[in-house]
Amino acid sequence: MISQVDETRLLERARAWEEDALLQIYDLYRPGLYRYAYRLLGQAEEAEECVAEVFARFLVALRRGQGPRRHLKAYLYRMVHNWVQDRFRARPMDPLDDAERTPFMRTAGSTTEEEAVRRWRAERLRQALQRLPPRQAQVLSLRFLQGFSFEEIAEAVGTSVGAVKALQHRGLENLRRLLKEEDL
Amino acid sequence: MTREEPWMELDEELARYFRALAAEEVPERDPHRVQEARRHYRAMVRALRPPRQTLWETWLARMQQPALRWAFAFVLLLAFLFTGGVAVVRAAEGALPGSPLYTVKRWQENLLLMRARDPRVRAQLHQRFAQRRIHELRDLLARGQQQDSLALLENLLYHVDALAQMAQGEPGLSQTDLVADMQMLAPVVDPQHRQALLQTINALYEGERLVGVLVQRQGTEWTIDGTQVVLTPDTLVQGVPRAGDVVEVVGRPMDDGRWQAQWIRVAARAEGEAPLEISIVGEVQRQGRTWRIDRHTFVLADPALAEALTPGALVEVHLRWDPQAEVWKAVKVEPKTSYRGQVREIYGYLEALEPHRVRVNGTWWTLAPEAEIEGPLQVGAYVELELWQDAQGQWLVLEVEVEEEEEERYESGEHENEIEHEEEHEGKHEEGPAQEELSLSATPGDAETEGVSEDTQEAGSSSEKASGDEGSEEKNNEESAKEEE
Repeated sequence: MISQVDETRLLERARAWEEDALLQIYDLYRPGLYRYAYRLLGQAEEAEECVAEVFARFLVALRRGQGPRRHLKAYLYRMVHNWVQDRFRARPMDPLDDAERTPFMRTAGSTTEEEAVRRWRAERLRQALQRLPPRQAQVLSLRFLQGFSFEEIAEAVGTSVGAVKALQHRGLENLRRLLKEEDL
Repeated sequence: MTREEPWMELDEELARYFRALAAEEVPERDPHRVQEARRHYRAMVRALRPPRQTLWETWLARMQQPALRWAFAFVLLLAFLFTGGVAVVRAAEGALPGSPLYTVKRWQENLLLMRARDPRVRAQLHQRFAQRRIHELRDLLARGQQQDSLALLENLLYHVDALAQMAQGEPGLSQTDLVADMQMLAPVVDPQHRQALLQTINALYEGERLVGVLVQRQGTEWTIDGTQVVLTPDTLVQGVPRAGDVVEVVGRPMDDGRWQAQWIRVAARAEGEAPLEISIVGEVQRQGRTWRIDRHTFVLADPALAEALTPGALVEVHLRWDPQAEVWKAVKVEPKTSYRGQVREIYGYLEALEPHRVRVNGTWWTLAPEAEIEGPLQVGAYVELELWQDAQGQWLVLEVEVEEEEEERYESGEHENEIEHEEEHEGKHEEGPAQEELSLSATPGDAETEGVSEDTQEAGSSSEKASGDEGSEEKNNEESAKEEE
């Protein structure tokens, strides 16, 4: 975990195009971003592609004098989320595509039935999140899958803490409704 | 903060779902791919590194105080005047890297930039100097002098960068020509610089992004995942997107829900694509190792083809897309006769036919060597001639098309004129409501005429509300009926 001050300093060095700083950012955030992308997408290949593209866009943004000046982590997670949203918009996920997804990895000690139920729940939640309005999905994913604080989410979504709480509330309501639908 | 804490905000049912997804083990990443991805990222960091500014450029950028800038400019100007600098500057304008005068040329550019305080003027200067670098690069690459090209490219990117920064506040500032030139340069610079060049081109665009599968291309209207995307003459298309490809569009949504594209690139290729080939006709231009016809830039698959490509000549070139190099390659060249000036079409009966000319409406028309003839050509046929005027002012026939006589004449409106002329000649033309008269004039009994008559009556009964196309169709039917009579 890197402190906010260190992160801002790192970002300043990256903006000055110090190669070490840019590589440090990559090494620091890539594993977490990959995990996040994988949880949203459910496919290792796409998660790899997503993270590569996000870092490419990050570099281009910096090169144009744009991109973040602080809260780098929130910025990168937002980019991942946007990429995933774009991908879903471009190619809506087919529920029958399960077979193509990376086989779910069984955790030690779990029975096959437990594993099957967990896998079913994970996939159902993933699909429900795709159907939520993007900002609600983003708030719920960052909060409950990545453990972000409300302040961090507010930075990532670009809104206030109060608005994040409202988005979370509405998002959970919608999620409950969607998960009850049989034909998700 | 642990991950458990937020879950306290959830009811048991939802918590189970989130636990299930969070507990999903992310598969081990292939170490080889991890290394590869990191190498790629580092290569991109290096490719995108901002151009190193020369000492002069750094100093110039730091010299913010206008008084200091003016004083320096004045001193330099005096120095130039006293040493006959004006003549030197003029002589230096065409200088290329390697020439002693080239330094003077760059000095002059820096001096002009320093003096310009108006952002628009500065932007114009950056644009002009970027164009200069592009021309110089082309010249150098055409001569095979790679050694100075890196410095030129860096200076080009410096100007483009400055221009991009200024353009953010100046939406009216057009960079289309510059970007088009840079795109043309891309195939001939080495891969590392090409990447930087393309990134710079991409960075010049400021629109929103749309990523999706290209479903259909229809002229300037493309369908990308249900979104209609409109291309303008300024839209730059990188690569050759085809149906099934995933494309990235930079542009803006319009009020009617469609998008206007500024820039389109292929993000991922559809699988199993066939080699793409097109043929284009136009005047060829040479730019170093690249050639251009209209908006198509290409290189030669075989250097021997250069013999058939004289700059300015009209040629037909068959191009094949090379997806690896992302460039069109000419595979076949056929010379065409050069035509200039206006084009026109005439209609008439073919009165005589010879191997190289035809007579229509009492005039002999010479056939162009590659004139196309559509349909069986016989004396007496009703034909359309497409005529072009060559450089000497002579009209040549490019295309002879045998017309379906009546239908085509009606469509072209020519028949209408003939009828009117005929009516006038026979003294039958009357002002007033002619529709009833015409519909009644059809001869009963004849199947074709009967049909026309019925149509005409039907159209006539609704003539008050009919308008536009229906009206003209109605008129044609009426005229046709009258002619039958």
